[in-house]
Amino acid sequence: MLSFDLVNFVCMIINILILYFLAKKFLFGRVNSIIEKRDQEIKDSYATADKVTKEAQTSRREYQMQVAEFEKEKAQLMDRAMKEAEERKTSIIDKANLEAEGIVRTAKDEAVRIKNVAGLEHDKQVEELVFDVASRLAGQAITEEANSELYDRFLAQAAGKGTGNE
Amino acid sequence: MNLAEELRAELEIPTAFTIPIGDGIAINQTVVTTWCIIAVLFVLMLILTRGFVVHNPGKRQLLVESIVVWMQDAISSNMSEKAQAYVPYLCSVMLFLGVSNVIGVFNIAPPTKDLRTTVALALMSIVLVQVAGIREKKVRGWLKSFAQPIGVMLPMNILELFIKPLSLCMRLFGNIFAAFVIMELVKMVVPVVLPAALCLYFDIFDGLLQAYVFVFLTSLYINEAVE
Repeated sequence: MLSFDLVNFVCMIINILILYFLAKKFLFGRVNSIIEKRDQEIKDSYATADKVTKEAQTSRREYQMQVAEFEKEKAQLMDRAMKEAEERKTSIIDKANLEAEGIVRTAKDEAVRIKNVAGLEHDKQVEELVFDVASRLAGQAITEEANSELYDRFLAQAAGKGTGNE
Repeated sequence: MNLAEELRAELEIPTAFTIPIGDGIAINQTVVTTWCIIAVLFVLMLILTRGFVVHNPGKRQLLVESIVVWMQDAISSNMSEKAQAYVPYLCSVMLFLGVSNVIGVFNIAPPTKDLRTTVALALMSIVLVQVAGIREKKVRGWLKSFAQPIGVMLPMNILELFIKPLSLCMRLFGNIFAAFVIMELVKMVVPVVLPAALCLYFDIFDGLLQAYVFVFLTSLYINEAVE
């Protein structure tokens, strides 16, 4: 009942060792290998996700830096364009003012000249009229009444010529 | 045949066959039963783990994975990082003991009812414990550990070297042997209904509990040896 012999004892040890190697290889080995592969894939997926996230963050930073650079460049270009436009505006206005002053001056000179020419014409006509009157007076006897009539006509003609020249 | 003789006959470990070498080497029934258990477990392992895949595992694979992971976690949770290498051995022993202790349900004499089985298991466990200690602390450190925490503990620690396997062996053997004796007595006295009910406790609950206790204590000893 409680017998003990070495052969069966050694057989039992061998049996247990055989079971251990079989279980290790065909049960725990297979299951753990699958679980490790799955864990590794999950870790790889996380690593890939981290890598992609980091790359995306880097790209985003680069994009933001580029946008900031573009904004800065745009502001500089806008400033430069505004300054140039302001300078051109000032230059055009100055030029226009100068031209306007020139035109006004020319117009004033022309007006003075026309006025002077008109004055000379008028004087010439008056002179011609005087000469005409004097010629007529010299050609006929002049009575008091005729003289008076002559003056009136002269004045009327002078007035009519003066009005016509203006 | 009276009750005592019947019981004595049931407790005998019969010789299964004799190898004709010299005077003949008798191989007893326990060894043959163990071979059968190993063969059945091996076939089950091959069938259950066939076609395992990493993606989209089937129900069979999920069930096997869950059981194996549960077993490994139940044992490794008591052990430190240094002792994790011994988990597959302890799982194998738990598997063997679980099946061996429960096999009484099929009216087959459990191999753990034989003292040779429990002595072999206890001896292997304690050798493993000492090997773990030597691997971790080297020979000098392992020898020094006998005089710890103080030198006066040296005789106690040397005695412990024999007490631990003896207690492991006797606890398992005693429980399974006693359960077998009780079940046989019950079967002789009340052959129907009652053995079925008691079988749930003695063959299943107590069998699995003793398997766990044996493995749990071994894991504690290994953990202690590597710390």
